[in-house]
Amino acid sequence: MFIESAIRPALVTGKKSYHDVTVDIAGGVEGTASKIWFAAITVTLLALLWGLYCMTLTVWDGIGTFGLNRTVGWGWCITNFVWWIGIGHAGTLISAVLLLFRQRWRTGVNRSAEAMTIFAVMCAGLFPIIHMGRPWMAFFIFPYPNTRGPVWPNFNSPLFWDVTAISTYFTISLLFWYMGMIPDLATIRDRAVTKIRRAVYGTLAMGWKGTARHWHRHEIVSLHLAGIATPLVLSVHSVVSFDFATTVIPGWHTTIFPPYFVAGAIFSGFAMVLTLMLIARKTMNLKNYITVDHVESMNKIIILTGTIVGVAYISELFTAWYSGSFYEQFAFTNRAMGSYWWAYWIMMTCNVLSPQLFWFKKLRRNIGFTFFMSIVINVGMWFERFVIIPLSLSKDYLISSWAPYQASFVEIGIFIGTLGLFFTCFLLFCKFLPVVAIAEVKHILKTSGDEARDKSEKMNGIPEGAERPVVNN
Amino acid sequence: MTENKFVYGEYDDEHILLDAIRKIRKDGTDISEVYSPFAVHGMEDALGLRMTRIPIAAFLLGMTGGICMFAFMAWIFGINWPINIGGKPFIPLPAFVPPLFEFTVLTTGVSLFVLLFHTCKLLPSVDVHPISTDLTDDKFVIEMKITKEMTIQKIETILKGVGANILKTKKDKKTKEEETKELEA
Repeated sequence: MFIESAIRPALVTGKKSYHDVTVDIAGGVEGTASKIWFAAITVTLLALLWGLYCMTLTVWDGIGTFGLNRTVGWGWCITNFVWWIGIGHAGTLISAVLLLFRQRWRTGVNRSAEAMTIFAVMCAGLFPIIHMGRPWMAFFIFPYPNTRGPVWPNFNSPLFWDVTAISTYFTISLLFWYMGMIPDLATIRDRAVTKIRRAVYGTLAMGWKGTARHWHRHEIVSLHLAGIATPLVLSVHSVVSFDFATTVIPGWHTTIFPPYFVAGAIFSGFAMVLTLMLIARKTMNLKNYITVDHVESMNKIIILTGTIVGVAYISELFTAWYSGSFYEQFAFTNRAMGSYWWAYWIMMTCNVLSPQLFWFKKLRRNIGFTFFMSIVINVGMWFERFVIIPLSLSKDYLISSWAPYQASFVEIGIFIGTLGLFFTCFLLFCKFLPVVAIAEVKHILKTSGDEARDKSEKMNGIPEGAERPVVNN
Repeated sequence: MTENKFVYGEYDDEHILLDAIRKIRKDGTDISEVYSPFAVHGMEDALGLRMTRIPIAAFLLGMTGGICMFAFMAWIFGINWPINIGGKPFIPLPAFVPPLFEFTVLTTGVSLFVLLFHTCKLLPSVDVHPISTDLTDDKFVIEMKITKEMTIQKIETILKGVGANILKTKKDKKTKEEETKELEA
């Protein structure tokens, strides 16, 4: 039997039995949606419609509807692409990396974090396709025998690497998410009272019986999928960073990019997980499953990754100065003191300074403050990509070709549209699928639930009702 | 009906279940199946399940995928359409690493997934439970096959001996009233 220290906080509170867990989570799927849900999905659908309108404009009239020019060829679209991909990373980190590290607190948040990954990658994938201008020719990027020679994609190009990385990432994340959900879908199937629900969840649950053999194979496959998803998640943002690092643009052409991008991705992803979780926790009454300790654990990862990002920013400045290259030095002076100085300083404040506040335990465990910070970090990380992309491009080697960049309403509209898509998908997920991994929570209930903690306190001679000693946990 | 072929013993707690399985198997008695609402650790040892070979198969398939991707890229850049890019080799190995890696991961992952479905015979179906729908909720069940040597009475004695609650008839999903009561509670 697995025994944990009595001083560790309980991961599931409210003295839940197995059946309570089922009722709490499957009940959310079975009940009718609340008014708040309908109001929220109306707003997100409107945002999505606006985005679709702007996408149509882009395709109909061409990329000329963007604020791009001959100097600045990548603007908001690529910024958003990198931002969304980054957000996706936290889901895989929680589901795969924390599984390998046997972090039990992941069970409360992994399902929705994985869902977030999938929706974020969907949003990210839209941008390069829209940016092509002729999205109906998007299949040209895949190597397939054709009558034009055949003309093949360039396997040396990071843009092609990106295609392979993101399509693999999406596929593996989707399979991992679905596979983890099968047992929970079976639970909903077996509780279903209406015929339609029984048929739908029965189909989705794929005849899951929960036999010892099923579970054994399921566990082994999960573990191995986690094992391959871990290097995959590191590779995805590394490859995204290669899009920039292999060019000759000052400020992009640096070897620090892959680790810096990966850390930034996890940083922003955790912020988005927190934004979503704190809302879900409140509106869906999941306080017993996503406890303050879960929030604190995530905030600790935010401090770590935020600090890595901060160190990366400073290393970049140092390397620019130390390189002795005039263009490199200019790129960074331009970022901090050029015409877009405000973007740089928003980035610095939100990403480097603000996460350091989480060193205070009180702030780390404060839900309201965490929610505020999660938004701040998301904004900061969007500005990081903005600073890297259009700022580096707008002032290149030749002064004669310098050009300012101002996003058009179409670009902003497409971004709003993807926010709409993301939140619409997430709301649908919250309504129709189990938001917390039921089987995984049950699995840890006897060892990490509050009743188990009370028992272990008794065993350790801690009097009943005594406040749990606070150790630097 | 399945009720005639098997006897089912129900448990509320996974630790009692594991002890029971160990006790039953100690005498060399066969357990045909165990159902649980979540993965119970130690179950594979208690039941003496063989380690699955899915990872080995997935590894081999992943390697095959990787080799095929490499061969494909090498054929295109080396034979089908060689391009001289600044005098660099026609088959630039370092540049092939990212797509090679991604494709290997993709084939391995998809293989793992497909093999899981294949070996567990997972197909869309609605009515799958032999005895009770509580098996995906909070109950654990040991299933034992009735044979000439192992009569119903014999199995029931064994199961009762290890503290199981014998399930006689099929327990189906809760009635609507129970369900609504539960939701209200």
